[in-house]
Amino acid sequence: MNEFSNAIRQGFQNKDYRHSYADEFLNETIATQIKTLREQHEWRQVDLAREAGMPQSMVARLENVNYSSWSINTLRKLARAFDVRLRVTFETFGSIIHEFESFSRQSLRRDHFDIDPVFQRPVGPHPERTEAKIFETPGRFGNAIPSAPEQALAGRRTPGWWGAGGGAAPPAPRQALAGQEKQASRVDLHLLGHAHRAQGGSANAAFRGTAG
Amino acid sequence: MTEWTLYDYVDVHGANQFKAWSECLQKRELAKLNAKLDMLQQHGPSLPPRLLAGPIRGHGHIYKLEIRGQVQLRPLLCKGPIRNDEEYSLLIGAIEQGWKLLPTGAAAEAERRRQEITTSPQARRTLHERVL
Repeated sequence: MNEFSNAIRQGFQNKDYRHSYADEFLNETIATQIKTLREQHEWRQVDLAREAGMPQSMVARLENVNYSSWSINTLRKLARAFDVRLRVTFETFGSIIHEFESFSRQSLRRDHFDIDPVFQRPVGPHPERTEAKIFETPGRFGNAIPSAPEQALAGRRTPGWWGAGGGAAPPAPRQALAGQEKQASRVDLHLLGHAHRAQGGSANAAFRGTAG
Repeated sequence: MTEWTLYDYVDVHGANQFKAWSECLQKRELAKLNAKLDMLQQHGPSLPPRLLAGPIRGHGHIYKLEIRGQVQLRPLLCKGPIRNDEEYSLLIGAIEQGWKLLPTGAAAEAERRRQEITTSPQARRTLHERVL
């Protein structure tokens, strides 16, 4: 894989090369994630089409690594069908190496809202205290190993995560944008597994990838 | 996850024909080609949907990668042909115009090259040489 990293570093010195490579990887990522999420739901294409309010032929088109005419509105429909949130970010080119190396079916899966571990915990006036109580109660875990959602909860007990109002969003996995305005960037779109309300407004503008 | 091994066809004079074709591409096309080949090498055909198209009609062993752009690249390849679950051999560089592969007879030539590799894999292929 070091050979891959070196090839990327060398090839990306050329601007046309790095943008074209990133566009292609973006197409591959979105198409693969749509198919992965559909299979995670154990849906056929026609099931996803019904949930997303689009024809089955369009789902087939979207589940193709060669498709490139993505629109934000279409991706929003899919996010709503999968009950996950859509995230669109600009990224540095360097991050593509890690993304490629970690690209897998597992890394593309996302829990829909109903099984999102963040929302499995009780919501109360003193969440920190409630949470501590949960993890001290033998009846919840018994003597056994905590379940996967419970382990996920334990790992998320970051100070301040619940925020003053109890409704703050989880921290972004990367603070990649801070202080990097001058670096060349690429665009990534991800379907994430944490509930998040669309911001509306100008975000309705469609994003177009490279023309097919 | 097992990586797949990519090979390039080598002609009777020892020249890497696929590399020679790749060296004639513009940077944009080359980048798209490499992105597809990286995905094929890393994941094979199972994870990225529709990464490989084919087999081509009348040539049951020959597949193509679709690389869309101003020039529609269609490199032709086959599984194996020695270890079908572990490797791909890149046989010939082609493009598509008006639903036809160019050069004319590219699929038949790819099949001929596949058979050459089957007969003498040591002489007729080499590990894929990436062009940047």
